[in-house]
Amino acid sequence: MITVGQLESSVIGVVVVILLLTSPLVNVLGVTAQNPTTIGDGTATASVERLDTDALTIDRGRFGTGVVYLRIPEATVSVTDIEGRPRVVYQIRVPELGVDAVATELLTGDGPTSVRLGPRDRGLDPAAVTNATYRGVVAVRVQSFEQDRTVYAVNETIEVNG
Amino acid sequence: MIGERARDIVADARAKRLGDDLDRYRAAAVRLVFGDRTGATLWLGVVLLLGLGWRIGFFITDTYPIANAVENLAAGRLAMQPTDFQYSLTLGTQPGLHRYDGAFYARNYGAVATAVPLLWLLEGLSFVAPPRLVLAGAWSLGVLWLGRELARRLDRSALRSVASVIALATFLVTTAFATELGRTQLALAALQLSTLFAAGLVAVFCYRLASTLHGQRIGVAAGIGLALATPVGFWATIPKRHVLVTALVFASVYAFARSRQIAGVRSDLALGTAYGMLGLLAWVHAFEGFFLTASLFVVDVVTEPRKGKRRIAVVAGVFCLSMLPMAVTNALISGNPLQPPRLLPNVGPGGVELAPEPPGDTGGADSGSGSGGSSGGGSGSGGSGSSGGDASGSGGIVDGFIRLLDPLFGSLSFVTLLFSEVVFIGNYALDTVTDGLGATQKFDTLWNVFVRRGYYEYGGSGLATNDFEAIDLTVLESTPVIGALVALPAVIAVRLRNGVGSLGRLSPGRQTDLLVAVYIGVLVVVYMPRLPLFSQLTVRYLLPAIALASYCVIRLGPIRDAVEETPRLLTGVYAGVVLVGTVAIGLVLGWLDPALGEAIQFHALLNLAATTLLGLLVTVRVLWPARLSPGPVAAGLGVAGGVTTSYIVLASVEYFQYGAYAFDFVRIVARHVPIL
Repeated sequence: MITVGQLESSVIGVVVVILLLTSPLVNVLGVTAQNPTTIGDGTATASVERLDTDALTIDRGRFGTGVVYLRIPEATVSVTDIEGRPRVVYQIRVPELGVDAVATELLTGDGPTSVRLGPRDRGLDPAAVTNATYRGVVAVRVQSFEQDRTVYAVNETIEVNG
Repeated sequence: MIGERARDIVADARAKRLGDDLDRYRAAAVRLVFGDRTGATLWLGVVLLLGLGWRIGFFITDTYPIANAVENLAAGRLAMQPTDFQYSLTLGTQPGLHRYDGAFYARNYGAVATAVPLLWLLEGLSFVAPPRLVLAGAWSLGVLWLGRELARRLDRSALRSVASVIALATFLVTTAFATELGRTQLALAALQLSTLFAAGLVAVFCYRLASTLHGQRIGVAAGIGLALATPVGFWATIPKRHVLVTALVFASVYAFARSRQIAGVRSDLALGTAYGMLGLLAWVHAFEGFFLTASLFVVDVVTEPRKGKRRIAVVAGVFCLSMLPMAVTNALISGNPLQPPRLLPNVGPGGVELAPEPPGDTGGADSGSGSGGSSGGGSGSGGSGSSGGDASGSGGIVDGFIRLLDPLFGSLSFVTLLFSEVVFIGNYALDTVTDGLGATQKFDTLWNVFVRRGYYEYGGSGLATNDFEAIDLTVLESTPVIGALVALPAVIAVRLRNGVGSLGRLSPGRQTDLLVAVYIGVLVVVYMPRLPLFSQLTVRYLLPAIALASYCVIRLGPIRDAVEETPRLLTGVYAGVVLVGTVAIGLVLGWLDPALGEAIQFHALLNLAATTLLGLLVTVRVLWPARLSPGPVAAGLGVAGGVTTSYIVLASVEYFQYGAYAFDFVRIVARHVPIL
């Protein structure tokens, strides 16, 4: 049975030892290298598992926000054969309204995975939305320094609801 | 032999004495800043908790010049060239960058200077271990320390084990999932660390202020409440000046209160400190410092008209000393100790902040239109006077007076320079207050600043500033605990009914109340012409005033009754709302699938409901104390504080993802909270 004091001392010991091992002067333990946060070379196979493009609409903001919103549905993309550090890009463009919304997810594991991407709904100037419908371009791509491959692309008519 | 032994003994004794001296100095320093061990523990706890929400990144574009200045000042450079910019938006798009004599300068040098030692510390430690792990290690050791202190104070030794487990687990998770934190990010991180530490000091000075008037229990509640349940927590790790200014304002108020409670030289020094904190504040923001100093002077003279020579000498001495950093910085930049960088020409978009429009703006987009318009126009006459430190050629009455005096000074151009600067500032102050008083008479503006904002058309180019997202909250929407002040008229009515004591001699507490009220009033009046404005989030210009108003809540009897008589209910309701309520809000929002602006306005409505509830409960308790026990008031206070903390948590986790989390274990937890 160890005392509380010993517990505290051992925690301090573990923290100090790990810090020293990761020191750039010692460089025994390179902890940050294994968890990259930026895109690199690589590739992956991706396909859209679920993307409800009917939910791509323009409607009024709630809770007193007073603007209109382009509602952007979430996309679920299944990814296999990940090599290196590619990323998945989910992009919605509405050229007439100047909207270019993007969500990306860096792929770092190796096993097959399912990635959910949801760019935020986009606020629009209510005075600028005058048409009854707009043309939207939806695309899902796999990107890396080596390649930029489109795995999904549709043109979608976006309805403006009261 | 004997001689050697004697030398050893003497050396030992010296070492021991040195050690004792160091201990004494450390204890004195702790007493000076934190007051006592409770204050230090409070600081540590607040810093560790609010640090969890820390994202390393730029929240608002005008932080770029400040962060660049931190980097450059740490390397010994005050004047910057574009090649010195570590963090760069394209030149001309960095609001808050000023140009003088071919070189570039930031502003808020007091905030910059506060961050510089922290940058040196982080850079030094980055040789020991990667910065990311240094931060995680420091956090874990801090948790251990906090556990020890809390265990001792609350007499619960289990807290030490809990703290050990948390410290170890978070550090191991961070080690396993650590991401790179580049050395280039350290200046920004140091700036954020300085505001986080300042947030801890806000809590400490609020604790000391409330303790000195109402005892330690109330003090601790006030300190924790101010840090976690008001927008102070929201701004704690955002690299803006507001929290630092708030800390200095609270230090000033606390020192003033002490100066009225004690006597002798210590009282003189305390009063000097009250002024001195504002002198330092002027280093951060000259005009806020100026207006607050004027307020303190008036309240000081009104409440203590007669002062001894020693008192005047001490106060003047301390105040002059405190102005030195600002004066030296200004002199090094423009040669004029009273001309802060804010008065130098802007590079990029003109400011809408509290300062006269500098002459020769290259951007100046805001000066003619939008919310900055009234101030820009109002100060125009003085503006031309400041450019070369030359008062002639402008039209104000006081300016004309100066022109008459000009020959008297003759070759004393430096004195003229200073004097014209003072006159310029005086003109500007008059204009600002006039504008402010005008703005406080517009009902719509008041409503949009204090009660309900929602979507507000800013006019001109401001409309699109935040992508049409209604991310701004009003004072009450962002700080529901202030709702308790709705009961103020009732308090005054009851006081009048029961008969008023002598007005002639106010108690130290009442004198401090007067100072707090004047600080709040002045801050509101000078900022009113600029509000409502985009990117205010929680009316950030008013953060010091909001924090002071939140402190005022604890001065209300019903609130103190609630804290003292039903502390368990208060903490229980607060913790329940924070833990369960935050999850519930998350679930509701997950179901509603709101846009950013909608989610924030949802919080706004929820917080307004909490504000109303608290206001009603406190009013009833004031008017009919027999009808309502302290319990419901405690519950109302817990809800009002809880929903604010919920907003702060969700704002960090979800709404404002302006950078990666400083602590990787937070990133891993936060990843699993999908709302938007």
